[in-house]
Amino acid sequence: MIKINLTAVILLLVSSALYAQDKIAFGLSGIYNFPLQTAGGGFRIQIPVSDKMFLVPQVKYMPGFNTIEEVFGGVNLHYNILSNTVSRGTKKLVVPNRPALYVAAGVQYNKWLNYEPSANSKVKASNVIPEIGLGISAGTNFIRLFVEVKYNILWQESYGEIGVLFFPFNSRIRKNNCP
Amino acid sequence: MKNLLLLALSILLFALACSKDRGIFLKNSGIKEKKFTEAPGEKLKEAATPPEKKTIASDDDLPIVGKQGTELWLEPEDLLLPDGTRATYPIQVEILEVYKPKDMILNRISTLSFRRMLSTAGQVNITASKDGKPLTLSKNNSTSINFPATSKVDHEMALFYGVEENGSLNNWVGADTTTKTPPLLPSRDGYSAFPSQLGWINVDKFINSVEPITAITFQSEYPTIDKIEIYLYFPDLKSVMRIYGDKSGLVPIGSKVKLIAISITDKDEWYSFSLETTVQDKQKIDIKLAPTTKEDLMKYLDTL
Repeated sequence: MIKINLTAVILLLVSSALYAQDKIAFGLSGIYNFPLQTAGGGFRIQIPVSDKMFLVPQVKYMPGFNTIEEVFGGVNLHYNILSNTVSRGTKKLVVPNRPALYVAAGVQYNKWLNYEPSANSKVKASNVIPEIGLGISAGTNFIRLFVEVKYNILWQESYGEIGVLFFPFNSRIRKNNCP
Repeated sequence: MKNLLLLALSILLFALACSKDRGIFLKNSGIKEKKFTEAPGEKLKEAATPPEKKTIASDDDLPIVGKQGTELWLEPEDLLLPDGTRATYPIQVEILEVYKPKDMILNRISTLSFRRMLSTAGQVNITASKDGKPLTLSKNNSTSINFPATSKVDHEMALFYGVEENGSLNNWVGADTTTKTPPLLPSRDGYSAFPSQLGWINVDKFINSVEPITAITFQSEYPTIDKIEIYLYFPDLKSVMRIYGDKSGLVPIGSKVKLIAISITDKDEWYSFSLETTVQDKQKIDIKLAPTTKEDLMKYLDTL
């Protein structure tokens, strides 16, 4: 059973089907803060602004089993520097299995739920933090994996995020791959 | 090429992101069980770069050039022995260059003249000796010091001499400007100084701020303020203020300031507190020291 599923995934990834541009997507992710060694989860919405740019509102929660329990809410702007779109005449079409590499920048509101004064004197119970990062995503027309690394400029902390994006509103129609 | 840049960026992200400070809780630091030294400033001075020692054996050794680019033209006929006779080659010279805020803090220097803030372009401390006997500059001398400009050359800069009391530099006094030769001349890439004395020499000007002024008050639950070395660095004004007691000198409201507080235990454990803020009227700052290491503190001071 596992073999069949793996084969299916590989087949999906190697086929270079073309689709109309991405619609709004929803994502779930796991998060790991490298210096603090804390883990959590996140939810995001990916809204296309252009064929290369996306607005990504998101919330994140690092639960109480960590030394620091906190929530984040904010927005990132993603810009594809290695795009998964191709031009066909005047149309831009998406090749979902082609990896899209993007830079991210944004701002997050942070609420440290079990706040205690720490060696980082810049941190309060409530904070607004700028962040930058780099990410990659690839998959199918409806489901894509993404991996990101982000850097919190203010606190000098980095974290990684791995998740799945769902595109429920994407067109099911495959475009002709001929020139 | 693009991929290499991205790889470099990713590595940079991780390399920079090394701060675990948020996971170090002050309640666990056990600070109240520590015994802090009465003289953290002396430990700071030990961490400062020592002066460079040079011997001038002949005219061919001139000028002496410091590691940070200061050029010194100092000839024996301009130097007097304690008995008033002129010195001869060889002479020994020590030169300490203080251009960066880090070096000013480690050398416990304020850029203040009679409590008024100075904007600095750099300082040097020059001493000369002959066979262990201290030398002084004669009244009419041709000594010159070329200070490299660390930022744009400012034509309003002037020359100041440091006044030491009990081994501590506590005031800067403007050089006599009524002499035939101006004590300081700006050049294309720095300043040429013609000092009338050796010792601490500073290229400065009084700050031009028109903002109202205030004094900042400091408090610390533990240890007490007298066991903490506190410095204010004003990056836009290029000015450093060492704090004596729990109150700063008068500083312009609205100016950007970086506060650095350092205390050291009798077991040589280093604690620090830093804060970047904008000066507010009658501001009060609560100093909360957290454990650090000498190496981490030096790295932080390098970023000022």
